[in-house]
Amino acid sequence: MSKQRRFILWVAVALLLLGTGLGLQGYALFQFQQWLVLVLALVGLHGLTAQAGLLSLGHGAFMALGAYTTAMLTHHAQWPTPWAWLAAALLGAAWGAGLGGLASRLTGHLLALATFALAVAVPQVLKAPGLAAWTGGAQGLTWTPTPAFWNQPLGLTLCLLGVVGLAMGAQQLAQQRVWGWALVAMREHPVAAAELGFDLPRLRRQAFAWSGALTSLAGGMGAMVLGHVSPDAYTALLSIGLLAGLVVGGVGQLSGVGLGAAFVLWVPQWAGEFSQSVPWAIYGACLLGVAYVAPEGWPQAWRAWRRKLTKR
Amino acid sequence: MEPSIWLLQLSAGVANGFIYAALGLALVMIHRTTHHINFAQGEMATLSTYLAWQLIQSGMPVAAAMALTLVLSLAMGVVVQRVLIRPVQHAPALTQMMVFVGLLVSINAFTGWWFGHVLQAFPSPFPVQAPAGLRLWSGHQLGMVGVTLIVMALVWLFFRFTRLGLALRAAAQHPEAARWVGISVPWMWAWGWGLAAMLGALAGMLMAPVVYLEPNLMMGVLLYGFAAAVLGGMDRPQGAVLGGLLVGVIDPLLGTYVVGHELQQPAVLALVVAVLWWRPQGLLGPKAQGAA
Amino acid sequence: MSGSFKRIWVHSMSGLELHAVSAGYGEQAVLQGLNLQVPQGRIVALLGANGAGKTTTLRAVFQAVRTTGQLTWAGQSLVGLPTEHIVNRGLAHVPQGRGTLSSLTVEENLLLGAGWRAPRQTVQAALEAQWARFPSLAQRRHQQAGSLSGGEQQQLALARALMRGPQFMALDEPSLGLAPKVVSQVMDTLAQLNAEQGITLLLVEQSADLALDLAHEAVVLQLGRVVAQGPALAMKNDRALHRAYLGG
Repeated sequence: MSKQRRFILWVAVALLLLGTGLGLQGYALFQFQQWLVLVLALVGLHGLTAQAGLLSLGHGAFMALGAYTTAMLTHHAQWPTPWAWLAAALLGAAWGAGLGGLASRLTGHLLALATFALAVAVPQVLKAPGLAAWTGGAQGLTWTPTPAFWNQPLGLTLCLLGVVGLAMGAQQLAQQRVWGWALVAMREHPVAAAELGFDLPRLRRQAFAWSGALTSLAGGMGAMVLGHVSPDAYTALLSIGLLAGLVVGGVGQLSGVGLGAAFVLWVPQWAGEFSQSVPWAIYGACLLGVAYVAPEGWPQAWRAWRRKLTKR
Repeated sequence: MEPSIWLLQLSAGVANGFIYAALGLALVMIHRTTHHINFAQGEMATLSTYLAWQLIQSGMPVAAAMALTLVLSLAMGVVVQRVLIRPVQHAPALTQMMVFVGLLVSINAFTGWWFGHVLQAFPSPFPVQAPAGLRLWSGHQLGMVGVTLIVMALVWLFFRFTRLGLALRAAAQHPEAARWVGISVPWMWAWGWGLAAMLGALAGMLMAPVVYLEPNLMMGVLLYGFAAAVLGGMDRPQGAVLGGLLVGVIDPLLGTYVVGHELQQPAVLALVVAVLWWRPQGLLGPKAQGAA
Repeated sequence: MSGSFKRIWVHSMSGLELHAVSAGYGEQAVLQGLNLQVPQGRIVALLGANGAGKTTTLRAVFQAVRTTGQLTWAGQSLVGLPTEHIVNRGLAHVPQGRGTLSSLTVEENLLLGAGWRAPRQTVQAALEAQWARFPSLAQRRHQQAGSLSGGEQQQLALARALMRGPQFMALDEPSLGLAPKVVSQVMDTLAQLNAEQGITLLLVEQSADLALDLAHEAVVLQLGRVVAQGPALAMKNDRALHRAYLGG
């Protein structure tokens, strides 16, 4: 598909989303906002795990960080929401940079397990009685937002659309520049990349910081959508769900995050009604299924099948 | 004289430490041979423990059920490796992680669905009271320490003095050269998984009488087992044992005297991360490797 | 191009035979339609410059690289078999760099050479035979293999290959990194094994003269194809051949 065609397609999608945001009301709008939040989170995860190959099983922790930062700043300190969001993004970047430093010591699967430990630890830390004055303990925090524009459903939706658009645009741009290529090189041939002069530890910190900022921001905006934060919304299930969503959407390209976000949003809602185990089962089945069938993404798998079929 | 609280906690920590060491050893075994981390090690262990429980429920004596479960777990490990892991042996790391995490999640879901989420009591094969002089531990805790020590010794003897163990060592340390000597390296990996599954099952069956059997039994133990393995330097079996004991002892001490019970697990994990930051190769790992 | 030697085709039902074998790594084929016969009980030297495909030929014999074409030993096809099955059929491989399991002891290396499923008595007997043939190894039986000298590691590689009583041995540059005196010892041992036990040898060597002294026949590869073959003695004296393919 030519560049112009692609551009027109993206503009059409953007307009469609804008129209949806303006047109929906009530519960449907609420779902749409939650979907946008997850799209933003997955854009963050995509850049890190799919592109740079840094396996993170703990992105739920970033969402919790952003959500609680926003909640505490708006509730306890009465900050206006956009400043709280900015703080969430910056804290996410800082925390990400720290994790990026860890990534140079723990490679591949070890990093994944370390981030998984982080994901498991987050609800426990949030529930700790010692911090309850700040975090609200096991009940979490609920608040009524000020009547500012960005706290109204319409304004919030427009903010989300704007941020998601900017994030995807920036991510797409980064992928096509040297920084993006450097990340791919680091993923595929780290030794060669180092020999070419790329500063790998720095790249890792940067990739993690960018990812952390986006996902943390997603968490913060998500907190405003819900009007409520609680520890049980940020368990390991969320982190695994994000990974499953990334994988289902397809790791090969960024545009899959829409599908992935829908997956993460609706599986717990729909399947959780049956039993506690069903969301887990679906995530597990999807992870295994995609791993064997379409590990690089759906277009790539489709091409591979087509090649196999035409060979016969 | 009544032993002081902290002495009791210390001895309980040592007993638990052996469990973490067993699981850490399972992780090391797989990592050493295939450079994979089996995320699903804990869940496989939980499934094995439920299997043992089912056997006991249908009338089998506890010790016999546990022994049979160990054998069945060996088979399960081999089958999982041959069927599920082998196809992605050379796939990119993300694909492999999809499989491992998918396995973790699927087994957990299956266990929850098949056996339900109700807490179940799991009987201990050991007497309630320890013999005189060792009363610092309960009968079961002493059993935990004893059985784990014996199994670890048997595993060491197996690797050292049997030819299959020798072949496993060769395949783990020199996979390229081992094939020229007629060793089927892929099958050695499968046997490694089988042994790891056995160790995991042992850890689960020893843990269940203490904390009750439920589908998330081994989730926390997996993380502590991971902590034990990386503390010890990921590829050193002795390291996993040392790491396990350290984690087992530090865990209750941190919980009771420093951060409180709720923050116990995060604190232990944070401590392990701090140690890794300072010394990435673990406490017993080789001299500093360059991070690139 | 010298025409003073003839191409000799040795037809035999036993021995190693490659017909139209192509092999390679990924897209590029290294071997292109290779025809090679190693008659049973003979020593054949495989010569050629770097990159000619000598090592790939050996790997192809042991199916360590994907091959097309025909590959048989003693009349039975080896195509598609896992390497360990081929080793179990009596073919041994001493790879480049000896392939010693350096973290294991000398004795452990030999034990593995016999295969972990072989009966205890067979292994013991084979072990004793190696101690007798290589006394310096016997002295170091509990030493870590990686700490042996180059020459001793070569002996270890040979001894390990012999543990299974092979009928065929492929050696990839056994003289690499060894002092001349040690090299001649190794060559003497190989000649002895061939003479006494009739072991078929396929010897890859960069140093052509060395291999031609030992071998009965020689095959020269270039760019994955056979460009010359014949009796070793004739090849050794053929200066034009040397200049064309063997670096003068």
